[in-house]
Amino acid sequence: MSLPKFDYQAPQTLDEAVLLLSKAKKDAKVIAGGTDLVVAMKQRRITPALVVNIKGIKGLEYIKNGKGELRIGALTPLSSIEESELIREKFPALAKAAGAVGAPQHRNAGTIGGNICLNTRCWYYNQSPFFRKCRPVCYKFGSDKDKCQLFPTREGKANVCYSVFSGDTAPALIALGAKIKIKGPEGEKTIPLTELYTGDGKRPIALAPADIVTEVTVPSPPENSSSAYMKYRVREAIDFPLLGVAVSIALDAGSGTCKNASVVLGAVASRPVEVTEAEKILKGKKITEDLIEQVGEAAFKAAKPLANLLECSPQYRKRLAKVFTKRAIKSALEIIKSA
Amino acid sequence: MGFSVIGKSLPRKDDPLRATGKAKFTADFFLPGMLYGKILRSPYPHARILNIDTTKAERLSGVKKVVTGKDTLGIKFGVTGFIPPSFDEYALAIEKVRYIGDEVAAVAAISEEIAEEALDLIEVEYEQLPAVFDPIEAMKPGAPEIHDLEHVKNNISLYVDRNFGDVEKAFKDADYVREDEFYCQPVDHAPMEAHVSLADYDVSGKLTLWTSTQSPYYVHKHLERTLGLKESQIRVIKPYTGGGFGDRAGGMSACEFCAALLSIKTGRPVRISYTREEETSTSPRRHPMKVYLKSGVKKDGTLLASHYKLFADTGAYNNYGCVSINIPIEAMTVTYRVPSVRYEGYLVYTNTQPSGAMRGHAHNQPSFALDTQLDLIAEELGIDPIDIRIKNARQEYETSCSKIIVGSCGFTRCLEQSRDLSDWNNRKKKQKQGRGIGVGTMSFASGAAFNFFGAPSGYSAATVRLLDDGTVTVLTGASDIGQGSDGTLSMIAAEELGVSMNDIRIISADTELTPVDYGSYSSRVTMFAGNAVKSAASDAKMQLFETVAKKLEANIEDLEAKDRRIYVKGSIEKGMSFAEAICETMAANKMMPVIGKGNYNPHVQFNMLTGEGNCTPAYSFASYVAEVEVDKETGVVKVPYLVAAHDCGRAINPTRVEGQLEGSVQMGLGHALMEELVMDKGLVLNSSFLDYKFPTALEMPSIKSVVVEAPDPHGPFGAKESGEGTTIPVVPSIGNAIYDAIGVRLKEMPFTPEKILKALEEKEKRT
Amino acid sequence: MIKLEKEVINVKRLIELIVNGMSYEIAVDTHRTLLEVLRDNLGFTGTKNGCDQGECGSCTVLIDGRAVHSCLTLAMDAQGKNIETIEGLSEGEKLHPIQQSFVDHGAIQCGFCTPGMIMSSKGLLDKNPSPTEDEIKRGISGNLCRCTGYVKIVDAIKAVEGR
Ligand SMILES: Cc1cc2nc3c(=O)[nH]c(=O)nc-3n(C[C@H](O)[C@H](O)[C@H](O)COP(=O)(O)OP(=O)(O)OC[C@H]3O[C@@H](n4cnc5c(N)ncnc54)[C@H](O)[C@@H]3O)c2cc1C
Ligand code: SF4
Ligand code: FES
Ligand code: FES
Repeated sequence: MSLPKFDYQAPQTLDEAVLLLSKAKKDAKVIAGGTDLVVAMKQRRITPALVVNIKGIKGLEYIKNGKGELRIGALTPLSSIEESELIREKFPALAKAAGAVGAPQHRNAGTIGGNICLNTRCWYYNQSPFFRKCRPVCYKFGSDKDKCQLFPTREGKANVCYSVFSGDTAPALIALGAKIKIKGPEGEKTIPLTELYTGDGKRPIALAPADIVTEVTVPSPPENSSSAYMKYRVREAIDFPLLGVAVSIALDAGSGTCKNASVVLGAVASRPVEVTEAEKILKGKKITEDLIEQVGEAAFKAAKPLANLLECSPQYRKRLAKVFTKRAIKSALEIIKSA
Repeated sequence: MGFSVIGKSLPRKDDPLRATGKAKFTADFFLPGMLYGKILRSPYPHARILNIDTTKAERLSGVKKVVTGKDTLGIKFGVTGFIPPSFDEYALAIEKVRYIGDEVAAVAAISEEIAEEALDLIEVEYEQLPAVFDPIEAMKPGAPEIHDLEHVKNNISLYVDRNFGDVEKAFKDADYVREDEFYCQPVDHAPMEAHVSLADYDVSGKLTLWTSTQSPYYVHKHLERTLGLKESQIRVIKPYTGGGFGDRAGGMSACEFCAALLSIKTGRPVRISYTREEETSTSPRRHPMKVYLKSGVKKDGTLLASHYKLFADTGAYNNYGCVSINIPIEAMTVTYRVPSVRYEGYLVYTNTQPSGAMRGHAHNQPSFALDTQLDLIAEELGIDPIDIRIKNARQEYETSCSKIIVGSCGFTRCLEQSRDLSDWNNRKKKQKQGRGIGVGTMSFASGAAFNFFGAPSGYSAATVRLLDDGTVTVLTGASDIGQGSDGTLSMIAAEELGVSMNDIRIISADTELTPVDYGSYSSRVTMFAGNAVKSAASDAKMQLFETVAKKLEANIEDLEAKDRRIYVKGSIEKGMSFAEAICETMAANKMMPVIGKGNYNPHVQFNMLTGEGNCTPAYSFASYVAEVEVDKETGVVKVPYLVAAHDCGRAINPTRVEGQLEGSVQMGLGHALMEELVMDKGLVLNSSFLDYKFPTALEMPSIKSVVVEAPDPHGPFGAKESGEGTTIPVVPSIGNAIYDAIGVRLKEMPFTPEKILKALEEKEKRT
Repeated sequence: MIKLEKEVINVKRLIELIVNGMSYEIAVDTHRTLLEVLRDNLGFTGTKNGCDQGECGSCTVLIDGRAVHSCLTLAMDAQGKNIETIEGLSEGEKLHPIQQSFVDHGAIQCGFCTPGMIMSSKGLLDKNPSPTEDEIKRGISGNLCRCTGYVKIVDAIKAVEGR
């Protein structure tokens, strides 16, 4: 199916790009790798009047080991992240997550910026124009007057969309404490990545229309720490996560007790979900089987998926959240031990 | 017998074209002035069409023609002509639509985008009718009537009740009887190339159609009928085609009909390419089936009786259904020596996507039931699963209770080889936690000799032309859709004529040039087209022998064709080159070309009334052993290893046979673990490759393929089928291995992690 | 007569594409994908369309050495980059070693997935000349094949000469 028509611009600088976007009417879209946006446009879910290709902007593709932090340019392809020796060694959760996105072709074209700005998914929404001839449009696709077709709210109540954030790298990055740099009409700002996500399935990404993510930064991990990412999907390639779990853990060098711990779940809600209990359970303690079990239980509670992915039930995803959280913690501890 | 070509793993001559992107598939043709077609489909599962207004669409600039059912002759089509009620489908709907996706109108425009835009401008007024989506519901009194046909009551398109042997008595004699219920989900063929057809109706009144089909002759015949054209006005060509697996094995598709009709109406070439969504949700799928199986055995495991009930959901139309509901008898009576069988089959209409033939056609479902139940019985009786199979295994040249004469049979050898190569006996004893092995089996026809069009039989013909430089042109109607028939048939001709594969050029699947062959379905090509080519080559060879015998003053019987020579057996110098022999033969016959004719028309007798007898000359057999690893915490199943032992009679080309086995394992693995068309009130929800999941390279087990050869006297050089039957054992072998690994028995496909966890929980509750 | 309607937002742009080392100057609509332009405008029909939405790998080409889906790539975005398609691998009758290996190992059945599969293999082997079996499988994991079960394809890639 052909793409819908649109006006196309390929600015050479960030300022130019921001200017183009801010002058444009509401429905302008940034395109990076295009591996998410082009599908959405082919399915006529998103039909922007203007597409601004930011790939021509120089200096946004890099992986740098800066002062106390890792800096990744927004246009860096996921395959470069997956293959980076530095990231594999110091930020294993991120390397794993980047390497678990789609298939090699998606990772070669897809950028880190696009991956964290990924649209949310729902079986009712990610469908073709023919599907929409057979079924009414839902709230996410349509206007505020259209109802959520899977979990309709009662008459008079505001609509909610529960579509699922299915990006792989975001949970890993959040577990690693990442921040992002955003360039907009008002200039540049840096926010914690977790603030990029609204939790609202209809408008999941907290960016203004003319905002462009330019960089992702991750603090260098302390000694005696590591991270892990585990993903459940039906096939080992191509498929989006039905569940993602990212874990990062730092231990005290002397006592071996837990200094910091972070557990973040992907694909269980409209945003990555931080299992805040995890740190409370683990901090200051020696990590035992029993504590790991408790964190698993906390992940189970924190995960509140709904029935909007076709492949499996929310109960199953919830259950897996526990199993995978435990495994991810063990895997991270394993790496620390072997180092 | 020492072969020169047979048994070698030779590539097809045109594989380099496929490797370089030069091979032209239908979508790769661009004709001058070509228009692009699109089909308007019903958004309702069941509705009456009150009115169609095409004026707005016609007014859109760039639109050249809009057609609806009114522009057709209103002739129904289907697949099988031998059971009259089988034709139940209009290429463009008339009065009613019966499933979401049913074809309502078609547009030809100067671009695909304009054609699509025009579809939105066609105004169709529907009156929605109550719909039914489940065959059991559809059979209940008061269910919506999908077809208004005299012979159809309660949406049952066809009911068969077959009785072989004394079933009642056998059950009485049995020491142990058990009954189980199984479910096989709807799955999609998912060939990588979606349907695509390019029609060119020219000023001379001739219609040429390039189309991705497995059966150009069926397409030809159906176009003739439904368009009211003469046979000689039509030419159907199958260019390179991207797989089929039964998807395009029968009748004709709306894609083909609409492209042809639009070309006739516009006088311009028209190409229609299905989107992946159309391919998945509107072209046929495998019949979802509920299977009830009751079996009776003696204490020692000897099978005495089976009683099957099959409820096959044919969807909105019969397509292959009337065949599908007849042929499971083979799976039920051939693989094992069961002396009495009752089979009740219901072919039921629902308001869903039509079902058709698919790799292992209507055998997979009853075989899954039987192979699963055999393990249950074996366990109950304390017999090893492979032992119980060997005990009951079909032996060569036996006659089944359904009066099927079985030819060669290497089934026991397959069972033994799969057992030994999988280290079955050891693994059965000491297996790691969560690991298990299981066996699955099959028998399958080497081509159905059904007569779908009132022709004498489902035959094949071929011609072989010998050129004066010693090269050979083979003309065959057989369709290479990827399985490699062009290569196999070339090898057969080369062997028969004693030349090399390089000397053979093959022209295939063009209804204007090539002799009749009904197509690539029912795993018939090697047996049928192979025999036809062999006999044509032999005919040509005999013409040469005659001349050479005269020249050398030798006896014809003493001559041999080998190494590009024709000579007296035993003394290679006493003879002449193949090329010389051709020239001499032409010279001796007033320069008449040397053309060999051949056909294959087996005398098999299937009794449509009783269901008794053969519909094929020979059966292939197989036994697979799969090893699985089950993660008990997540329910995820991995299949690290699989041994596939297959009696294909003779492997004409071992690499191709292995390729069929390996491809079958991928498909079977998908069906076992992940593939399923998910539907909501008749609407397919997972029509993309992202959502309809079949295995990638990462899910594949390491496969040990074992070719077991039990040459069959009917087969060309002893060859039987390989390709369809090979999918059948995969699912039960995995299911049985899961049971071995974790002690839970799944009777509903696919075996998803959730079903496994649920079964584990239930098991824990019980103990 | 065809009434030519004025396209509101769409103006064709003149772009230069470098395909298999040759430069092509063509006018394209901005909403065209690279797959459409390769097949419909330039006649490189070796690149196949199996799903049109980035799910099967049939349309894989190399852009600056990396395997990508041409069905998800805007033609505009491919300007000035080095595009390699299946047609660029062989020289006359001489097949590229990967192509030859596919032929020799029976890795081709219907051949529809083959061009994409070979391009993914090339992307992999150019970067990593001696991949492990697992790396090969990962390398082609975005390329669906319904015929072969991938076994002979993996064998073929393992056996590529001079890798
Ligand atoms: C079949 C298939 C399977 C996939 N599987 C996975 C998977 O398993 N896991 C996964 O995470 N993803 C998956 N994806 C989605 C996608 O390929 C990746 O998420 C990819 O990283 C997206 O990056 P991109 O550069 O291609 O994004 P684009 O498509 O270019 O953009 C995506 C969105 O982000 C916006 N955007 C992009 N860059 C910026 C920026 N710098 N600033 C502001 N906004 C920006 C765009 O406007 C758009 O809304 C899959 C896609 C397909 C088609
Ligand atoms: S959750 Fe509801 S509103 Fe959101 S995409 Fe799904 S159906 Fe639409
Ligand atoms: S056609 Fe591009 S990935 Fe399928
Ligand atoms: S060879 Fe047919 S899809 Fe791969």
